Amino acid sequence: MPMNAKDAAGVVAELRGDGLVACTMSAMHAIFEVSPSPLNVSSVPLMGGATGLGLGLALSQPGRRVFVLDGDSSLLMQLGMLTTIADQAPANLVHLVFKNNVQFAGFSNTPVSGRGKVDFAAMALAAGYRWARAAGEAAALRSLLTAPELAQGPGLVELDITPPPPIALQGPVVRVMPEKQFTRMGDEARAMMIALGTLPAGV
Amino acid sequence: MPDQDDPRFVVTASAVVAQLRKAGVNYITTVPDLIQLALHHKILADCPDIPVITCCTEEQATTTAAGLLIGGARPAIIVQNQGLYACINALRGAGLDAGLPLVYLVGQFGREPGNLGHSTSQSNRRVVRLLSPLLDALEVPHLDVEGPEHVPAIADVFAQARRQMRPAAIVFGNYIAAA
Repeated sequence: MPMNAKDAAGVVAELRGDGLVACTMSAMHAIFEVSPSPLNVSSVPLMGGATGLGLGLALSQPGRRVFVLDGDSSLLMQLGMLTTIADQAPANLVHLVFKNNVQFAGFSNTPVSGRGKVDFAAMALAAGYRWARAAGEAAALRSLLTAPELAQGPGLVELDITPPPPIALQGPVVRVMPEKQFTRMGDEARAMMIALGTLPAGV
Repeated sequence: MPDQDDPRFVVTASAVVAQLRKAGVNYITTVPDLIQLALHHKILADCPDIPVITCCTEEQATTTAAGLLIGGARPAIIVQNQGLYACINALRGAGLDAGLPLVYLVGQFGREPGNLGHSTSQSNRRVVRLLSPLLDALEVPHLDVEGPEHVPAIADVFAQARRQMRPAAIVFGNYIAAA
């Protein structure tokens, strides 16, 4: 059964426990829909930043599992993070790449560099991740995230995500960005720091 | 004309490390910088309690430091002036918009010895000349470390960034010495 972003996010919601989520792009909307939490932080508007956020969280919070909900275009933008994550080798980090092969999913569905032919799982293994797999449906993702032999990271799951259909673009293409788009990263970072007790004293 | 070994313009790696310790720094994220090479070596050799995360790009050094900060660590980001130029959007997003106290240690790569003792606005080299006005334009406060007298203020930059929850920069105008 094909998987959309919400299906994949639903598996994370089911399994996360007190885990932290660093997310971006369409995965961000999906996880906040199914698992809103002060333990989520978005890299927005900052495409490509979820992997760095996740690595920093994984190293500074080694007692919690950290889920990086990344996009395929976002990872391509900061592809070197694969080697940096592998180099640091946080056992508590799992990197989920929402591979939908498009940018502006559900809007224009503009093609991604590589046009779907990129094998992110192979790249992660080549970079030195402990494990990497592909999953085409939610049940397969659930199996991977609960497999005892894959409990230690860093691991990566390349998710075959079906994007929503594009809307018909007619006339001037205007999309008003809500103010929240530009404040949410800070709001979420602060909420997570409060939840973790890491906000500097007096702030 | 001053030279790069003129003691008026020489800062030692030991003195900088002492300030990092005073500030509570417990992680480094970096794309290594030639100007701060002695600092890199000092940290790697003598500071096993300050892990170094070597990144591929300065954007990655920025976002990784942001994650560390949220998780309760106290990182410093070591980059070159070119690296600061390369990560402006990450600084804008994670530092300015998100309000995280990211502190950058920036080396003034390319500064000609003849410019030491003068404002970098008079440097012949654009890579040097643009840094200060760029940081000003970004509304990022910066401490210009031009000699030993400026070193004691380094820890204060970290403290102020945390109080104000905003990024800051410490700019090294000359090679850091291996002492």
